[in-house]
Order: sequence, then structure tokens, then C-alpha cells
Amino acid sequence: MRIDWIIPCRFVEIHDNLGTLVGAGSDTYWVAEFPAPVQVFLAMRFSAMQDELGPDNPHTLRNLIRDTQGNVLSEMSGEIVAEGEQHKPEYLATIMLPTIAQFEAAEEGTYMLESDLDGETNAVPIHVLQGPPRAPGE
Amino acid sequence: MQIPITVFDHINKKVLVIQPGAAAGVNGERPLDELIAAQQASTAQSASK
Repeated sequence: MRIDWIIPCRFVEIHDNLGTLVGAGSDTYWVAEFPAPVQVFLAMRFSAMQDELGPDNPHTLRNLIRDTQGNVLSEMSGEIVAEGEQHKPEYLATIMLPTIAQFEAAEEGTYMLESDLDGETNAVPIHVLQGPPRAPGE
Repeated sequence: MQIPITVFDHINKKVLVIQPGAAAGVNGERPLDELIAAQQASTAQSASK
């Protein structure tokens, strides 16, 4: 199983393996003060062959946060099992997963949200700034 | 079928699986709907692009 893409957003829900995203691409968060909790919705899509699905084929999804200096702030992992059947078994199956990564931002800067599935890594940068929300360039 | 949300809570060091609308939250005390509403209303909103 591999990661096709991960999109940070303000909200995501998955019905029938189809995603509804609000604020897709949100990558900048404004906080009143530090430290501040930051919650980021991540819409994830994976792909796999039929023989990689089912309860006998668990996959490990690791979520890692890097701080503004690139140091590992926190690392967690969970096991996922994807079920379902393709109309044609030889076709690649796609799986959508809604997730939230919550971490504490200690200072202003760019944090990296890394997701690792079966050894393949995808990283999403999240910028955390202090003050009221402003438009780019303000 | 709606897929439950997997929460990587790095603050409380927990991985949670939450059914949307269920009476459980990231901190085990706030329903997810409240969490979403609070996030959207707080100053921690993402900047509009």
C-alpha cells in the first residue's frame, strides 16, 4: 500500500470512499500566543492491490511532527486495515482516510507533518504564525 | 458509509479513532463537532489563500 497524496484542510469527511474537503490546501495557522495547540485535518489517499487489503493485511501508518528546527517533536503510529473489493481485482484500489494531527506549537515557524505508510513518507509543511489572520503580503 | 476519523494526538500521546458525531473528542472531553466548530471559530484558522 502506498500514499497517493495528503491534503491539509480545515475539515474532511469520507463517505463511500469519496472525500468532502473544506479549506483544502490550508497550510497557515494563526494563534494568539505560544505555546498553542494546532489541529490540522489531513485528507489521505492510499492505493493498493487487492491482495494488500483485508484484515489479514494490516498496515502501519506513522505520523511524525518536526519542529521549526527540523527536530522530531513527536512520533506516533497506528495500524490500519483497508477492506473492500474492486470491480476488477487487477485494478489498483484506492482508499481515503480522514485524519487529524494535533500538536503543540512552541514558537512561530514551519512545522512538518510527516506520514509514513509501509516505509513510504509524505511530508506536509504547516506554518504557524502569531497574531490575527492576515492575507499573504499584508 | 462514513469513515471514522483517525486522530494523532501528539499533545496527549494518544491515537484515537472517532466516529463523527460520537460523544468523544481529541481530549476525551469535547465532541468532535465541538472541536471542529471551535477550530473554525478560533484565531487558529488558516489564512485564506
